[in-house]
Amino acid sequence: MRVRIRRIAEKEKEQVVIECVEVTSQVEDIYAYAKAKGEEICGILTCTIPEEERSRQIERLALDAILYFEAVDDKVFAYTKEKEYEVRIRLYEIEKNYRSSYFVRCSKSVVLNLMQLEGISPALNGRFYAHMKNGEKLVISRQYAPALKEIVMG
Amino acid sequence: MKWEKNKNTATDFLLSFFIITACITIMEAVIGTIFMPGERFGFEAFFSPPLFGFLSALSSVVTFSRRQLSAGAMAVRLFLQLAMIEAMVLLVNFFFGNWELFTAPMILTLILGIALIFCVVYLVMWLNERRISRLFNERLLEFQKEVQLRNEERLKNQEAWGGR
Repeated sequence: MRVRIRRIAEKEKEQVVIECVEVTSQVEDIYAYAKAKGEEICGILTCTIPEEERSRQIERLALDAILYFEAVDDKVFAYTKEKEYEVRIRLYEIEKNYRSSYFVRCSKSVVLNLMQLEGISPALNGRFYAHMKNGEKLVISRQYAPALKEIVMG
Repeated sequence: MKWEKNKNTATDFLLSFFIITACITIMEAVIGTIFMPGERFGFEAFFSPPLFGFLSALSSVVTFSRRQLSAGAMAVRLFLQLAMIEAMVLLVNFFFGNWELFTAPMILTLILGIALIFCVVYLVMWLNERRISRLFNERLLEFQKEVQLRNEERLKNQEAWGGR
């Protein structure tokens, strides 16, 4: 099977195209793999269980289920509606790689999912509160508020 | 990003400067009319409101912090800012103004007036941010719907492709 990579300029137009005579199981595997990549991330479920069991709690998280990522003490955690996972990826990498999935930095230590944002309200001194769909409230610092407004309001 | 941040800081500074200057002008007129109705001033007195406005707006630097401040910490800094402004106004009047004309009721009125202006400035800025939040929230709903429609379209295409 020949494999080619063609570089393009626009991130939004990135796609994988499989040209085949027949859709075999091999082709379906490649299709499923390509579909999963970029839409999922691996995380370790954080809860009070012995260290040796933690390695079995690695789960694949759909990006659209993650409300926000937060960096705490050199670790990065992903928060879904009910669970919390530790992820092995830096916050700046999340900001860079998942921008097209509408993950935007709102403060020094938080990258939030715009699709899981219920709304914002003013806080003091140019800051805003981000109200997430699970009821949690995050702070949007004044440094990052303009970028957030730019993405949504244009 | 740095330019955007500086632009926002400058906009906030100018907004608070003009509100403060307007409020100080009114307050000086009210206090002067009540406590010093016979006093007359030269044109140099017109520099007083913008000067106080500039120094008061500058005092907001006290509320800036690289760390994320809790609501309590922010409240303490705001109180500090108010205290700084009160001290600045009283000291300027003590050293450069007609301090001998200042009576206790007048000083009290001045202190309360400054506190009132302080609240008015933050109220106006908060109302402006509330307006921005409302616009943002309306647009956010539309934005999320657009993205959802695009994703559904993409999924339909993927499924159609997968079926072939």
